[in-house]
Amino acid sequence: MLVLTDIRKSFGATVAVDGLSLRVGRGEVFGLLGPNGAGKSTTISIAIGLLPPDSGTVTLEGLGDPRHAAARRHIGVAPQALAIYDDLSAAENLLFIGRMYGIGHRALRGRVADLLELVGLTDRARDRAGTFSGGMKRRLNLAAAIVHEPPLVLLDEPTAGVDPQSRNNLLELVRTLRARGCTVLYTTHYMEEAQRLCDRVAIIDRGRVLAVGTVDELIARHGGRSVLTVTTDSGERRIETDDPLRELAGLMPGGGIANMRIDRPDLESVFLHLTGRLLRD
Amino acid sequence: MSFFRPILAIARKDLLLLLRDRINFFFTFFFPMIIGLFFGVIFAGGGSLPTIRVGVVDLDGSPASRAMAADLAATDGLSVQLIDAGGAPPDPAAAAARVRRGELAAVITLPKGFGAGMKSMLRGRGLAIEGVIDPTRKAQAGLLAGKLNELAFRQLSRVFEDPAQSREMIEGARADLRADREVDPVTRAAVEVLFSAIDGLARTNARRAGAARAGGAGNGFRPVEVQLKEVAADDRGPPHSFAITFPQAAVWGLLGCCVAFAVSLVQERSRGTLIRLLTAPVGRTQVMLAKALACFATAVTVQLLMMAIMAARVSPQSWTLLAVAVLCGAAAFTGIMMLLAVISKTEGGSAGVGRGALLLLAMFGGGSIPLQFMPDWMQAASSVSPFKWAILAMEGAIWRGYGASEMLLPCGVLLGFGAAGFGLGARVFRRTATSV
Repeated sequence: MLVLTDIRKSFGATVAVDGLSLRVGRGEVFGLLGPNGAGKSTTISIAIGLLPPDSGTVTLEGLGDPRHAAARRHIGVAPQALAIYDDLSAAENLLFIGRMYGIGHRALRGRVADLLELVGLTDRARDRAGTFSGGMKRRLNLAAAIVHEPPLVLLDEPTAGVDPQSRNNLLELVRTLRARGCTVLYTTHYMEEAQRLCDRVAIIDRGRVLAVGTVDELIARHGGRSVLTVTTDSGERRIETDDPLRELAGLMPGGGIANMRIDRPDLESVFLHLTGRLLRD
Repeated sequence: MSFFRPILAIARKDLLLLLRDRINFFFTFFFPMIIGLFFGVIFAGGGSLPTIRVGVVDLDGSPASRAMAADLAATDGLSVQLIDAGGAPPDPAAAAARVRRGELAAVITLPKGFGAGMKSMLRGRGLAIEGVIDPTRKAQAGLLAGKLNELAFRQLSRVFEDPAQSREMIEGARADLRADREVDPVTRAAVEVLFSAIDGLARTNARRAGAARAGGAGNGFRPVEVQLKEVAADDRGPPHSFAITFPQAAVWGLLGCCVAFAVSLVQERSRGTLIRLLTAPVGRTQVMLAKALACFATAVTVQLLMMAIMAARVSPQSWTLLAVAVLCGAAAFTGIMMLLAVISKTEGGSAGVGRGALLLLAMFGGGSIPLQFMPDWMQAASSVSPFKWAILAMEGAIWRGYGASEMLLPCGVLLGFGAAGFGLGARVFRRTATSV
């Protein structure tokens, strides 16, 4: 669906994207996971044709060049900044965006009502967006990205700064989009979101893709071993192992285990192994 | 999809946002209206001087001093208060203290012997009038001195109109002449003849004055008669203060409109909505044209609103040329808006720089002080301000009597400002409006 090949982009002496290549398959939720400043937003800007790359190519399979308006009609974007008008109501925001795509008045009314229902804002349809909580604004931001029912949706940090409940709502919305057949490119620096949501994930740092695969593949390849921690009468033991259950079973006959914990590798471990740094650094 | 449909949709959205933004709405529509009305009403009197509050201390109490005080009270432009000490002689020093306290602009004292002095005028002892005036009222002091001279002459004319008083004055003068031994016989004879002639003239005047009063006419003897009528310098003068203040108000509206839309474009960028617009099947050109259209429509509306209010008092000499002036002014400030929108990347920066720079240009360009009241060098320097040309174009159509050829210069300059601003702003906007 979306193919980026050897993309490079610099701003003065700063290299934002450094030879980035990836392929997003039709109907999948693809995660771009990396810390702030890794080049995720620049990659999104290039993917939707807003920024020209210094080199490399962007291909929207079957849709054409994203720099052309005709191709952009098939893309929906929810920028990291809340791209909504505070002084317009929720419904007015969506109606305005719909008009930008030339959707007919009657069809647009029905679609806006459906979208407000989908993002749980029907009760607040006539209220100005400026009066909304952060989570509600994020949901409206996402609704504005899909008002024209695009087959490809790019979500740039869609859960930034929202409470856990709103985050769950937003993740559920992304699952709904996948169920409807949308392809989603999802950038985040929260590994839990990528783990819960994404079919495949690209670990990105300093403008480069470090690894690509399903969450399980990445963990298996780069996550390292599980850590079994047991507390006995003689103190606490920390054991790195590929099979923590078998290791635990081996310890059971000796008895005296007061407490135990298994830390399996996750995407945080993957990032740590690949970069020597934590995602939050 | 039509090229113009998204342009209209964005422009409509921007106008709706302007209507909902109370501060920008106030500075675009209400503030200029207040400016136009406030200064228009203040200057509506055609420049007449304010009333001078004058206290009169009559120490003489003679018919002549009372008549002088009454004449002062009846004089236009003076608000006269007779200082009364409740039966006791009024105190000039106490009255002067009221001037010091700012309660009165001046105090005029008619001293003892004022009435007698009237009758001894031919004997070389003239009327004595004393006074104090607030030193901050120098211009009004001159006016007051002139009024006092005029009224003194009027008292004198009354003496000449009254046969008994004039005879008493002349006989007194004759007696003094005869008693003066130092006057040689020839001079004495000549002055005697002069007195006789004055006496004869006074009698004739008294008869004429009596006849005139009987016929309902005015006083018979007037040493000087001054009649001033208000005549406009030429037929191109502003017919009403509104003709000056509402073109000024309109340019303040243009300033508000210009800053409001410049900031709105910066907001689109800083808040991410520009990304939303640019990722829709809408080109940068359409976004710019939409912003320009909304700004242009608002600029035209605010000017028309000011002109409509002005039209309650002033009918423009040419509605057609006024419409041209309004359109050119709107075009100029739409271009300037585009330039302001790319000067700064932050809303605060854009608003600050925009308001600061435009405020300066507005004041220089006649937005605060009418162009015709500026010194020559400032009038010449104000040519760099688009506000000057916008005001000049409007005034040209309203009261300066410009023809189409005379309108070419201000309108051409305005269109030049608009084209340069839009061209430069659009170029920078195209280059910078690209990142998420």
